Amino acid sequence: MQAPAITQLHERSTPEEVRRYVASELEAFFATQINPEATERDEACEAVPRGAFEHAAQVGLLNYLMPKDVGGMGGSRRTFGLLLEHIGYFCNDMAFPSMLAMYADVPNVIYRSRRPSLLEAYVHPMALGKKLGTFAYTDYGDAFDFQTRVVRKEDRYVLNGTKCLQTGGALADVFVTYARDEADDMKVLLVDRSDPGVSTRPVKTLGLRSAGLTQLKLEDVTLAEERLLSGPDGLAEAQTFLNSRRMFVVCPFVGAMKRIIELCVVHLDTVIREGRPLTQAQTVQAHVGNMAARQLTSEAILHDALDRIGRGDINQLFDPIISAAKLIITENALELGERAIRLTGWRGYSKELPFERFYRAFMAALTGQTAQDVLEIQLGVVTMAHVGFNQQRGLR
Amino acid sequence: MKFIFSGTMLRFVDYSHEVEISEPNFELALKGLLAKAPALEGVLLDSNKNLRRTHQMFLNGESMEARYYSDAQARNALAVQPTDSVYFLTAIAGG
Repeated sequence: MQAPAITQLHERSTPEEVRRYVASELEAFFATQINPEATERDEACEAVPRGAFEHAAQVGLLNYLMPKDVGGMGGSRRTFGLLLEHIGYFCNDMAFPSMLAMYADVPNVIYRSRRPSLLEAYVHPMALGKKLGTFAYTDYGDAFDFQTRVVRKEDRYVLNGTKCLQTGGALADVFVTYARDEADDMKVLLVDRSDPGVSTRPVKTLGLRSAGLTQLKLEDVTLAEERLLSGPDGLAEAQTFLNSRRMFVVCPFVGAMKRIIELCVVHLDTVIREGRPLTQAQTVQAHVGNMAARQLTSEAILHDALDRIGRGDINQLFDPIISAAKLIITENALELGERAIRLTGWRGYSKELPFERFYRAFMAALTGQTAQDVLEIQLGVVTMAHVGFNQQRGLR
Repeated sequence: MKFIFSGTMLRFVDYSHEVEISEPNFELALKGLLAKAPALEGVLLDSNKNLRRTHQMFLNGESMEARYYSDAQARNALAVQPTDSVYFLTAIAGG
């Protein structure tokens, strides 16, 4: 069997090489399978079809981050981030890269348990796109105050609680679930949709309406010991996973920003005001220039952060560069989306153009993968600690 | 020495931004801290009684090495002065 084209990519592939791969191997798939129904799916809050992820597995995208010994591509997180960036350009439904990033990453959490029964039941099927997994972290209260509880009963774990929001939960077969135990430690457990006491309901949101967002309810869900995925410091394991995922949420934004600018300019060129296209008005040119600056800056920040991830030059638990990149790219995307709507008037505000849908999708990052305000606080605390100590020691 | 807290950690130290402990080394200072603020124990220590890596410790502004999280002997060997400060940065991410 011929190896999929994605195997040509490697840990040092350039952004242009990755763009060419996405253009040649995936553009037609998006144009025929994802983009035509994007607006209708959004209106109906209907998840991206499962078949899209089976295709993603066939081309080696869904299993790109998984180790080769379980059917994955063994690809680098840096290159996967670049793939997401360029998917964001070609794919009109931002829910697809959001779900893809989740489904591609979760198998590795299960893989690290090294339990043959879990590898066979979950990880191998995930490499083929036959099973999908998401993570259920967000809870009512902060990490020290999670309301979802797990209690050990003989050789079993019993889970109770409600996890607020999962990306791709509508299609997920398994949920990597975070709960507090009797000692207030955090435990990570694998919950199967078919386990008695498990139920989900859709969650309606402002943006990413086709991302299959769900709420997970756990009522006396009883799990065998092998479903425990965490070691003695579940909180650090959870934070390591979340920190490593933080970039993935904004990778597609950078590609989408480029696409928005192009669509915006093409549209403005057809709008005649005072006898000439709007693209000839200097105020419009200034707006487009501002949008281009935001996109180019975001691209530079993203590539630097991904290169650091590729070199392993990051703090696994809280990385200021990754956190700052997520923060600033999100703010740039929101500003760019708003400018696109201002420039295109009622068309941009309506569903005649896709800008309002992109704008709502960007808003998901206001709260997702650590809320913007929380990141600002954490970056502020780190900065002030360094400045304070340096001043104490007379350093400049 | 001084332990400094912020954000989500404050509620475990009765909202004191700084806690002063007079001990000659870091291990004893840590024990003194936990005696003064017992609610911190489950938050700072994991089930193996190691310091959780989620709390990044900065000694006088410098990030502390990994061994100080899991090795009590290393903490014992680390002498501390009254002017020293350890800052706990607890960067808890959301999903």
